[in-house]
Amino acid sequence: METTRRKFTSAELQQYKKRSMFSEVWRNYKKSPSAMIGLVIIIIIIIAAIVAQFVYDYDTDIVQQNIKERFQRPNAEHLLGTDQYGRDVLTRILYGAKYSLSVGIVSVAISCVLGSSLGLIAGYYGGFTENLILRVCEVFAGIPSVLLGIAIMSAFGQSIVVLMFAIGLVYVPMFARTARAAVLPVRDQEYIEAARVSGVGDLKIIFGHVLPNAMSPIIVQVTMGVANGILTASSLSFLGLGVPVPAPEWGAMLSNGREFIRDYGYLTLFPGLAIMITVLVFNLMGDGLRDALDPKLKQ
Amino acid sequence: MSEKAIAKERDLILDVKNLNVRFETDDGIVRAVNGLDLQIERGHAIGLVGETGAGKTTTALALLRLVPDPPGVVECEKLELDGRDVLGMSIKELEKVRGKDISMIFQDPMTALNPVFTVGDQIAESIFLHENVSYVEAQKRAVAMLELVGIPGERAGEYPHQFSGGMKQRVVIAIALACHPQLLIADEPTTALDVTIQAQVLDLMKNLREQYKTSLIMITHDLGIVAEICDEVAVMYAGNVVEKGTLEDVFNRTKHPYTEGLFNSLPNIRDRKAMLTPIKGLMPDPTALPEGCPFSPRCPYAGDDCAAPQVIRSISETHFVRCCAYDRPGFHIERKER
Amino acid sequence: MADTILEVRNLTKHFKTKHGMLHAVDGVDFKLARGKTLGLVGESGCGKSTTGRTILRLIEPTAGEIIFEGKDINKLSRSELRHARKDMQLIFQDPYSSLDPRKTVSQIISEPIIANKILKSSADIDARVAELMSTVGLAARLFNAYPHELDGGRRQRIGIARALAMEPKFIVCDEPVSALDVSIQAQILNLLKELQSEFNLSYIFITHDLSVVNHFSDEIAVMYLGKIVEKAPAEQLFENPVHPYTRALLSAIPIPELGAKKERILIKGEITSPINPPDECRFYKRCNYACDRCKSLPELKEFAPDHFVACHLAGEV
Repeated sequence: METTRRKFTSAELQQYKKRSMFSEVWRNYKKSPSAMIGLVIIIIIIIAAIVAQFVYDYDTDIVQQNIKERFQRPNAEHLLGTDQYGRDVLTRILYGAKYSLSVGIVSVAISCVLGSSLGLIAGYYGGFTENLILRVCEVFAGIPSVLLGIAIMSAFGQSIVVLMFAIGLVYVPMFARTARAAVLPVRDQEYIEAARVSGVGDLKIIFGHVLPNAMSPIIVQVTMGVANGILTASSLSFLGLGVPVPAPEWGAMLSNGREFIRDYGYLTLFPGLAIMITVLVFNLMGDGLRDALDPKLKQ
Repeated sequence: MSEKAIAKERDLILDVKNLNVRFETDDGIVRAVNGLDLQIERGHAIGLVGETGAGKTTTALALLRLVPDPPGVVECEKLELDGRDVLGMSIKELEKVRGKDISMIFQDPMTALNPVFTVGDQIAESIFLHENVSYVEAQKRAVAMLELVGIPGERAGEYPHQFSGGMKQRVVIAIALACHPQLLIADEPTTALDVTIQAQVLDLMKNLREQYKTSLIMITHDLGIVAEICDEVAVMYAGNVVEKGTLEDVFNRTKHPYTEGLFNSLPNIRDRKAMLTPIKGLMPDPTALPEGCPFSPRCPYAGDDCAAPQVIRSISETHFVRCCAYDRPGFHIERKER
Repeated sequence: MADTILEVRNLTKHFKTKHGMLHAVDGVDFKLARGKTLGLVGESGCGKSTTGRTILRLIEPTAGEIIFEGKDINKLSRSELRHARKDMQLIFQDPYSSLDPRKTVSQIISEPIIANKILKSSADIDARVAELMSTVGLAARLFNAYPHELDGGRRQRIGIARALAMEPKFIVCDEPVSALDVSIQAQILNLLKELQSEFNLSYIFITHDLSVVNHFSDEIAVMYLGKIVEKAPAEQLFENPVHPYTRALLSAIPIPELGAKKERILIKGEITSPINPPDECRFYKRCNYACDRCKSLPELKEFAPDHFVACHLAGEV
């Protein structure tokens, strides 16, 4: 019983030794079936995307037109059919996964790191800093995201790297606002004050105490951001500003198929499904990760 | 057995037999109330005392049949309010009873009032719902109620946020008493208030109770408050009453070791040098209550006999204790009779 | 008082609000002797918590001197302050919100040790954490537990261990037992007393619970609307309260004894607004004895040896 004070030895302590953060989170993550399904699917998608790079040749398999075989509905030879130029849809989707995934993930990483840091700083310090950051964010959020993307793309040229940055910057204000809103209830908690009494510096408080406790909405935002990133990339591709045209980026495929949606619906259906499944998978993983990081749910 | 005989003669406003409440959660079954018996005579005030998790509030909610289901499961042999069976009532009948015959004051006055209605409207609503009067008449009576609890009648048109904490609690009391209920349940009504404001509110409750002859269940963790406004005390531990009696019985002729522990934990305002003697250990986990007496793991007098199921035994006509140690010859606790 | 560890002179904290200046702390003076406890009592809004936090400069004071072991805390630079805080710690009221829910017990207790680079190797840190845990009576198996797995009493012990980690000389206890049940409250009070004599700690004990402060403090200061209205050794204050507010406060405590009924002094109304208070006795509007003299602000004067009262009518009513 704790009421009696008693010394204990370090040997005794060894059995309660720290469990590593990573294994702890993994142990909890494993408990959620939906999160595990998400993880398995994403691994399959990534492996498929990598294998596709080696199996298919860009020039002959992906972009070369083959008019004889155009508009074939899904059959044994072309599992997902062929498009208006006779290109195999399944091949293009598999090969194109690299564009959509990398754009989605990298752009979210950019907006998350930048936006969350700004939001954390705004929320933690408050006052003038907060006002400045929020007002600037509002100005940027007021510009339609595609328009902002177009502006950045036309200023810095058309390449996949610029595309990632363009989309990343577009979603910075959203992350900043989410992070700031998540910080507000945490900021006034006494454990923040306790850390200050203990002599912990501001940066360490922000990233050691505030961020972990404000993480849940940010993670949700990340999973939604991946979806948004993929969709914005496809909008820009559609306008001819994203990934250059013949490349089988999912969004570009989706918009290409739109002309034929009445007669050949599968041309929009399959790229659309690919985007949807990817987005769903990220959502499942995001939910699982959020719960795994919350010690209150651990037993 | 003698209790039963007495019960027949007494004019009981509330009669509860073998009340059990459990919450079936994912983490196991939380046994919040375990076989509680409670009788209150008309016009009496009983203090329900215990620490966090003793099941005081759950008991109160069960009396109003307000335990959320699921996860709550309520089982009760008998629950009568003024001779009427509450268990068999339909939702409609229940709604008539709540607020009219039996009403409740909650701990936090800040959240008990609806911020978008004026306090006058909130008091009038209760009168309008339960009594056959016009809304204008209800409004008039609401103003009268406000004045009764010491708030100028012209403030009836103001909103809750314009009142301080003590004033809000007065409004809550006005709502609770608006239909002259026969039984008032007050759940820690002054815990959120400052001492001087607490003194005002307790004073008000005491006067109103005498004026209206309302029976009262005062739920509190503060034995001082009980000493001030109650006639009887029931001490609760782990979902059951462990000791019950008049104020003199429980305060001056304490019998249960837990009650003794509570008294010894309190700083004595007259003797500042006296060392505090806390009860060792912690409240038992309500999902895994110990066999027999739930207090036995913390009890300084615990013996082998404590593992058996405990029955309530009467010390006198008014004084009951749930402790088997009194079967041991010559057993007594250390706290002296006063 | 021979050995003064802390002296506060004219401590003032005003907050700017939309409606005017909020006088949270308004010219507070007191001394704290080494190894002793000063109880700071008052109702919500009287400025007792702000006083405690201003002394640690968690809130920057508007004016005043805070002399801690000869140094004016108010004049220290940020880095000097960080150094000085090792000797001055705070125990919080709410054992729930004062512990980071995402840190384990050992991470919480070791935080000040790591932040101030007291110990380097993780083995040393663990050993120190274990020592602190046993000092406050926490079982070793809780080393890697999370706060939400524990009850209020154990959580408060974690908070105490964290405060002790830097071997402070002085601790501000801000309502350390208000959120706890009576039986647990007694355990924590006893622990704090034991620690005081073991490490020769000086406490400022902030509370609204008069029976607790009487039990715990050597000297008590009663605050009302940012001012100390009465200050005396604990026994003196309880036996012979002079200020009308102190008297009302003492008479309002419900005593868990029968026949203890004493005459209750009910004071009218509720605490008045601390925003732009007029230059009259702060208690003027609620005082049963108020007269014309009370329209000027009374000073804290020595009424009897060591017994200070801020009331024009001291000794007359």
